[in-house]
Amino acid sequence: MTISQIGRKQVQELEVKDLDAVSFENATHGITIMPANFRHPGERVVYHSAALSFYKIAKSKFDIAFLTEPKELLVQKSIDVFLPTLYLALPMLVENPALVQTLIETVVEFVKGTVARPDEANVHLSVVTNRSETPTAVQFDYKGSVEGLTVMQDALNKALDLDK
Amino acid sequence: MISEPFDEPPYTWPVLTEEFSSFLDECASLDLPVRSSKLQAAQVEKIDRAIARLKALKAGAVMDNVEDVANFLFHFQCLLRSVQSALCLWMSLKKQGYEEAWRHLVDAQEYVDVALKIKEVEGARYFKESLEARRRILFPPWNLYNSAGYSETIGYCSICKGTFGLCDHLEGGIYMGTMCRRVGAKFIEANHSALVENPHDRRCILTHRSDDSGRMQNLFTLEFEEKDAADNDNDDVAAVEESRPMKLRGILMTTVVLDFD
Repeated sequence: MTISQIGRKQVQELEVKDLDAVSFENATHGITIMPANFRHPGERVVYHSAALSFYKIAKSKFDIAFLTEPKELLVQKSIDVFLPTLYLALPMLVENPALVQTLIETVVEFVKGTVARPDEANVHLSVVTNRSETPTAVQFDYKGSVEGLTVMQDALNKALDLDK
Repeated sequence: MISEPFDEPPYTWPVLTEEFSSFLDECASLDLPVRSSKLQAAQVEKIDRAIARLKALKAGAVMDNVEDVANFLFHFQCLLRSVQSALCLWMSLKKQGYEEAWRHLVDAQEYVDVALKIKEVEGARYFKESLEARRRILFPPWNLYNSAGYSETIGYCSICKGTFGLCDHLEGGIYMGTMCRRVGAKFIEANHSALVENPHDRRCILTHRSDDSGRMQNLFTLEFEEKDAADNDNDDVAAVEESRPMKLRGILMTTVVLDFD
């Protein structure tokens, strides 16, 4: 182990992956806040601790709901901001393409309004949406600065264009 | 030197800010390691009394529903707490309480971050930079911290005292001169512990590690501790010697509650 590094690293990563064998049939709202462990349905449901405050900001801007009523929160003691995974219903996106921009602006507002050092934090945000022709869902995982969230916005818009 | 700040009402805003600036200068004059620990300890107590009176003024602003004034007084409060923590840092260092000194530095940084979040002020920004300089000069350049993950119940809102999920207050948001927090959450289960570069709580440092012979080294002082009997027994086993894992000792989690009320 070396102990020679000063300062902090900010990264910028966007990963896109297919999600098989995950059902979103209970996600009936435009945007659904998924549990932190939604890929493991047998487990006790737990949401990221940021999910509640994010929901409070977002609910006045678009149709958003939790998949189930949150009762247990996952706390991760990191300077990074762990946002909940959001499921975006494809019909809602097609009907309202500006939703992607509104969503990203809401994330930026949330981070700047609630984090003490927003410029130093990496934001972790995952967005899942489905594809019109197949039952497969696609997940976009972003990790990076709050300013870099436009990368996520561009990727979602591009996916939406391809799906038209 | 001010006898006791914020102690002679009625106040006008210019008088209040002038008195705050003078008191801050008085505190800053003691913010040096060469100053007397006795004087620094007295100033720490004086800051407590000043903050108690600031909080009384803040309560008045809340009663009058003047959020700007309440938030500005909260900004004063956070700056004073930051300087107070900085004085404690020097006192701890001088009595070789290095872990305690580190905690005071982190407290000072967290207070000034909130002060700056409320209002961007040049003096506060300068003080934040000064604290960062102390971190670089006084302490080892920690690059790994402990970070715990766990689950808990939702708890209550520190602002309205209602169930946190049902009110509109945002965790970390500033309302009427206080910062909203989720309080009263009940621990459910540990999820993980990780070594990370960017922890939420920089108090969670590694304080000791073992060397190749199994001796524990203090990462503040670089001094080695005496080995205990159990470790000496292990030294007799060659196989253990070859595969000896590195031992780390540190702070996994803290329950520090800063004064954001």
